[in-house]
Amino acid sequence: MKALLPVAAVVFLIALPPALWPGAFAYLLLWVLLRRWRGELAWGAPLFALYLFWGLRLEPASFPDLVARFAVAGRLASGLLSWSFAASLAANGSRWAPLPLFLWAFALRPDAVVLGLGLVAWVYWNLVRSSQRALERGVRFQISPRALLATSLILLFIAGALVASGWRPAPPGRAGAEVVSAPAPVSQVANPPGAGEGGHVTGAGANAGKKVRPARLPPWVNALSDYATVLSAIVALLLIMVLTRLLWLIFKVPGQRAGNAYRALLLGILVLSGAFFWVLWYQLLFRGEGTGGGDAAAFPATQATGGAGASALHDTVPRVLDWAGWTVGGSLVLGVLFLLVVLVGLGYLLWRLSHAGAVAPLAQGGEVRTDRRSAHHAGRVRAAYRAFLLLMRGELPKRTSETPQEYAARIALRRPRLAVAVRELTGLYEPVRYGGLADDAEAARAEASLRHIQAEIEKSGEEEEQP
Amino acid sequence: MIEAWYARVAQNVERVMVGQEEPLRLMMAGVLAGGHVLLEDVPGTGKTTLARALATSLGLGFKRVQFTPDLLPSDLTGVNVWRDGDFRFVPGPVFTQVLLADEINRATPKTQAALLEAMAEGQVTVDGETRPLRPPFFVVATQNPIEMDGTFPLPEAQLDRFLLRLRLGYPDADEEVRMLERLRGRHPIEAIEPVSDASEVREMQHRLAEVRLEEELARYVVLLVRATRTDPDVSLGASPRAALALQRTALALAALAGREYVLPDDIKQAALPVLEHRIIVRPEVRIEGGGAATVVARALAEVAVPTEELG
Repeated sequence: MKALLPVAAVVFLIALPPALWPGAFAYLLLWVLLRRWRGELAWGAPLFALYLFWGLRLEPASFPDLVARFAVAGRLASGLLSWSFAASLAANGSRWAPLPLFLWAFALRPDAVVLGLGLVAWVYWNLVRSSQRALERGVRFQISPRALLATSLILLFIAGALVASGWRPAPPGRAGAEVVSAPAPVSQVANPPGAGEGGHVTGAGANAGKKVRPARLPPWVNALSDYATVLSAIVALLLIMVLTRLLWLIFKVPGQRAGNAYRALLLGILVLSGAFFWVLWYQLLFRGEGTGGGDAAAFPATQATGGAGASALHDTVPRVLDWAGWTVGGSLVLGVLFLLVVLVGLGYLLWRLSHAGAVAPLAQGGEVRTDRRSAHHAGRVRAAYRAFLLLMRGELPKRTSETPQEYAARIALRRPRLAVAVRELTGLYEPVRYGGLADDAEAARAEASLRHIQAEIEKSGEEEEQP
Repeated sequence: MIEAWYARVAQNVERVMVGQEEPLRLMMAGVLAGGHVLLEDVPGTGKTTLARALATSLGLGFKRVQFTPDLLPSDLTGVNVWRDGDFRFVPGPVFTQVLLADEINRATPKTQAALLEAMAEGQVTVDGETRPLRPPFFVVATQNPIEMDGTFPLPEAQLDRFLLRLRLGYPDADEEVRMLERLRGRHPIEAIEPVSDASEVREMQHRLAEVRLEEELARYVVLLVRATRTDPDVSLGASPRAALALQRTALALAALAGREYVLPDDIKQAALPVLEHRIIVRPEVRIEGGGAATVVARALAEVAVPTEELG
């Protein structure tokens, strides 16, 4: 699977317009990093953010535009709903989990690229799902060199066929090129911005029918500034990663699997981080780079009311200064974001501490399956065992040097009526605590054993109270 | 898979040995962990029979050496002899897969030390030339703890090379009766057939790497070993090698039980056979009847087992 990742990356890059390539690189990086943490849907965060702004023209001057704000808010809300639905499907182990997310993206950009990405994601999801299930059954996987060779040959053949047929990736929209953009489906503003001044193709038909003039700056300066902006965007991304990692370290409960509240927090951070990164990135390339792929956008592009003025201003300011300014500004916003996240995290920590004494009732659903399913159900089993220890603490507490089996044996001697249930709960707890695996049925059995123990203890208490 | 393999071998060995399930399980753990075993017990408890039955059942080469005070290192490792105008190496009994070093404490320290390189490195150096031993290489040494006259107690460095020290003990009355019934005719060891082979043993040893040991259990192992160093009755506690041995034995015991993860019970079961012979208690404690077993028991009773924290 890992061996195919570079191939997938190349295919992905070819399929996207060149203007989105740096973003796609960042997306792949984010995905590779996040998937090592938790969650098969983590890859959705940057993708979600990518399509959140698809076809929209984002530049400072367009922010006061009410339509643009509504557009972003609407996409954000619908995207989060789609994601929640996808997560709930994943929690039930559905093979269609990635579908809602990609249907949403397809609604924004109904073309073959999204369709292809959706298909790849669906296949990937099902491979992960199947392999996790197989791993739980004790199957071992090995990459067959023959299969790898065959796949490579097929890919080479496809690439060769594409080259032979004269197919080319999406035309570059770089500075200095004289490009005629596609007609605009809808233009919100009578006076479109002078985006052409910058020499880049911009969002959905912003310059319908107009010839775009080359940049005033020498091409190499323009190119350099583009690379510099990408570099600063990557730095910002890495900063986000460090912040998220810090949060992970701060709020990780030692020796325990993450609960639903924590997962929700992490998901929120991922969404915010991803969205923020993309906002920043588009800001850095606000002259149109990155939004230019909106030629097929279903969503109407919005234009800044003072677009021409803003454009003129940006023509006079060297872009090298632009990206530096935005980087500083971005860092400030990052700081505010970090503060917000820390505050939310502290709130969560306080909430968790206030519930520390009780057995945390674990919510049903809302988290994804496969290895997280195991973690979730493992958490249920551990919670049941912990509740059992708390129940017994008054009468027959577990010694610190006792193993669960030794404790079960001691209880069997002192309280024979509890023996069977305690043995079953211990038998379910041990593989979870020391092996890390559990499924729904096992968690349910552990909870049933706990209820049985509770009932027995209550019954014996009532018997003792009777004269 | 390892569980099934163990069941097959154990069933075969039990045709010969009666009532030694626990020592056999620990010996199999030793084989699986790639360690060596010291069997310490009085004569006639079946030490040699157990070692031989195990070697035969595993389909491994087996050689037995009776250690005596006049045994030379070259008697063990082999020697270069002049033949046909050239020196030719005649391998000693150490070039096998299961070596039974019977009454190891009867040989001189020099001969005992000759085993050291073979046990630790899996190779033998004779006349400056190093020769590897064919894996799996497993030493089963026996010694009699009662009869101490004319013996050379094993030095600490060599004791540390043994993964486990086991005591077979006497079988109970019923088991002894069963043994008499079984051994009326021909000794069944002659009829025992291999049920495994060297490649399978090696495969099982490799599979041990798949067994999971939680980080907190690894810490538990370390705390147990460290507790033996700080015990007031101890003059020399268990070494870091002991921690490694304890971890490896626990992994092997988990695998033999058919589990893919180690339980604290595995570590507790392994603690005494792994740690006892590596701890030296103060002389005054020994005189008072205390011993390393008490130190290990105390460590087990004091160190907290990682489970759930109630706060």
